[in-house]
Amino acid sequence: MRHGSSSEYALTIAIVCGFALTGVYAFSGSPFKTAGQAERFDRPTWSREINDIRGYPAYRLRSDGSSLAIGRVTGLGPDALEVSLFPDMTVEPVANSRVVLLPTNASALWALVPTTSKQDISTELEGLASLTLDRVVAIVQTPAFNQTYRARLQDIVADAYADINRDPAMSLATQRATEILRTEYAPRLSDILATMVMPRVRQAALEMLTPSWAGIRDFLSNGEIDMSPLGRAATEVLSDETFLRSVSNQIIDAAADPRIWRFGITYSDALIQRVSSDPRIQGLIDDITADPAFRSEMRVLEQETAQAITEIFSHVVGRGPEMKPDTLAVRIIRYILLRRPRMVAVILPMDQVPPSDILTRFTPLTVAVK
Amino acid sequence: MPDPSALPVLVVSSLSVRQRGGRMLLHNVDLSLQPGEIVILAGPSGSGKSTLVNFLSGAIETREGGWEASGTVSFDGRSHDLARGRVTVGGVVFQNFALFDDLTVGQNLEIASAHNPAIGADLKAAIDGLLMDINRSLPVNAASGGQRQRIAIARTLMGNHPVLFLDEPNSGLDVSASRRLSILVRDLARDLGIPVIVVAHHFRHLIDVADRVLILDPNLHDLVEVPLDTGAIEAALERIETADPPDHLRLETPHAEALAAETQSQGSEARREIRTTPGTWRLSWAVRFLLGYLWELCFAPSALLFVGLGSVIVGFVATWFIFMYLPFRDYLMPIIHSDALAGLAYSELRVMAPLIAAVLISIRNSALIGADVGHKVYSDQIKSMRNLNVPHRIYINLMVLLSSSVAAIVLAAASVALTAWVAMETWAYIFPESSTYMWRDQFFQRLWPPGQVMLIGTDWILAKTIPSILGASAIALYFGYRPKADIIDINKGIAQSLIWGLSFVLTWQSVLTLIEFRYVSARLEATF
Repeated sequence: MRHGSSSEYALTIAIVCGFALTGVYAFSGSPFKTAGQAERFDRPTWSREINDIRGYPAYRLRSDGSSLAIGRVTGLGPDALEVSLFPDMTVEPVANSRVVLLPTNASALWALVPTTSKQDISTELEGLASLTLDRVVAIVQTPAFNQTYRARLQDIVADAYADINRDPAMSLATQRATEILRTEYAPRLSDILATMVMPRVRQAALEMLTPSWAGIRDFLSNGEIDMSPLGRAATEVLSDETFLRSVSNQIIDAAADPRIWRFGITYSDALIQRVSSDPRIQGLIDDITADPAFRSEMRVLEQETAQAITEIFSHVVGRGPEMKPDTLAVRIIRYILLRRPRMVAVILPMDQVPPSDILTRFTPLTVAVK
Repeated sequence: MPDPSALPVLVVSSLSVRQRGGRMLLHNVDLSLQPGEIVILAGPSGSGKSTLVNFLSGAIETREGGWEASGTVSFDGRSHDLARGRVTVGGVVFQNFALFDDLTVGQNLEIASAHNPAIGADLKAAIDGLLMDINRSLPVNAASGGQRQRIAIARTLMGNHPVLFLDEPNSGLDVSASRRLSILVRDLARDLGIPVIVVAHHFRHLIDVADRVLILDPNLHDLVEVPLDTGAIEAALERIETADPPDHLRLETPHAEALAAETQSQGSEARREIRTTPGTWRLSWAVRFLLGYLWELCFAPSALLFVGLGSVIVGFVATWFIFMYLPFRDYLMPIIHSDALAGLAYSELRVMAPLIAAVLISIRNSALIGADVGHKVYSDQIKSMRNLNVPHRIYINLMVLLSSSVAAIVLAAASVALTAWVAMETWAYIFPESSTYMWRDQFFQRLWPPGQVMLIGTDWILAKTIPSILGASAIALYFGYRPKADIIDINKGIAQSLIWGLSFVLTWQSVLTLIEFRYVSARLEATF
């Protein structure tokens, strides 16, 4: 048992104060800093079901789309929420910014992807589609496929088609769609053909019928007719932009017709559902993927698909020149995977162009009336 | 010279003392003491003179010393059964004085005075006379050897016991000092009327003032009175050592049983008495000991800095390692950052900080407690406390354990605070662009959510820290109290305190942490 000297007591007091100060700094932040600026906003209806007493982070987006946590969002009841900035962050005042509240879902994730990354993703998707089509075509065109699998696949599709046609509801829908096409779109196509194709066909027929010694000789000796005028006419028609635009407009109009569109969706769904539920399809796929004849094609397809998916994912979560995963994007993915509804706030200064133009479509929070 | 015909002031009858299952020390010994009588107690080394004195002074107890005793002691017309437990017949001036070296001269006297009946004016005058040239505000270590002896005598007199024992008082004294001591003892006995038993190997100068000489014969297990003559005493001792008791030198002593009921009554206003119960604790002294141990075990700068350094290492190393040496850091960090901080908070604040605090506190305090108590045992301070009726179990054991509990709470809290701060600063150094408030949100997201007063798991932190540090302190007390024959025994006690204390801390922390993991894993899985 020993007592200390006055200098030891003074040192102890200093150390204890130091410990206490470190605790205050660590647990509550600097006691010498004023609270960060905060603003109250009306709470969007969709966010009222999402409640976490810890609050949600608020981010600022840099020009490359990467995020930096600069504050937090806390609920103040069903009608209001508060966005407060961290006291040690020097950023634009909340009042001078667009504050966008995003739910942690796929659309928010997509909205945060910078426009340049979206273009890259589009390119990747096109490449992937093209690649997949090339590989599928390559497989389908092989003798091995024709010999072993084509008939099996055709049987499955034909059976599915027949099954759909046996379905009274689908049969009625098909008849209705056919009727619409026949009565509403066929006359328009007939008009186009009459006005743009028929003159050329008549001209070609005239040329074919105009007598020439060579033609008469060929016809008499070999029984042949010179069909080249008709071929030229067809080529001219198909290279006529006006014709193509007219035809494609008609096709697009038909496809955009909600009745045709809904029928197409319903029919496709029914076909896919029947094909996929056919017990033979899994065996067919297994056999194709395991067939040594297609191994090289499958390997290329797998590798390039994996590469493309990696690139697409990288563009979705990556930011900056090195495409490092972004905290905010990862946070949203995490809550999507965990199926936990959360929200985040994105604070965009008024004078900053958002890195993603989709963000401008979100309605910013409105300042609550005090 | 006391009147031989006067009634004895104290009578010991049929005293038998033996080690439990071991050797016999005394067998049916009778002893009576006259007021103011000076008795020299001599005997070969190891014959048990000091043990007899310790036994009669209550410095050792039958139940804890492995001793068995029987017989009665009578004083002031009352008899006490020695077999029933501790009986404090006399005050002892130990050979090494056993002064409380943490206290000043005055405090040494105060503690004796506070735990014993008030002394009379004659005793007070005698004590003042003894300490006339000594500054009572100085630490006892500042006094010379002779002064320390007088302080020890004065403190023993403060105990107000019926008998005064002096254990080897002239050991190491030169001739003149030994003579002065003899005169001092004679004057005290004569003036105060207290019988004095002087245990001595060097009795040449004490013979002049002694009234009787008793030799403890280890062969007869009895006290043998021999003539008051140096030659006769030496011859008797020589014969005893050659296992040939000198019957012709032995004097007949009256059987004490006859005198047992006829001890002289104490008429003075400040009555001396035999104590059979442990001393009552005093609040002021309890607080004084508590503050002393709190300072030593908890608030001394070395304790705070010790724990502080450990916390700095934990906070820095764990944070730096997680955020700087993570494989594929640049790519994984944004993915795991939030969870890494939450996990780091859990491991640093709920596991590592309490562990490092407990380990460091237990190491430091085990060494201190082992050294402190070991020294007190070795220097007879514990015996002296018992003899002076000072409840050392309360003042030392209880206060050490109380202080250890406070140290566990205070230093664990300090460790948690400092670890968190160092972790925050380390993180801020690694991520200079980010806000420490974001660190706070993520670091404490599962451990200290808004609305929570205390850290979640504070009960676990305390459950791990307090018992482990208390246990280590109790282990240090145990090894500290074991008998100490020399300095090596003190060092051994410290080493054993460290080894067993630290082993206990690690075991306790490991077991509790495993149980804690089991309890919290489900909760963490739900929140991560």
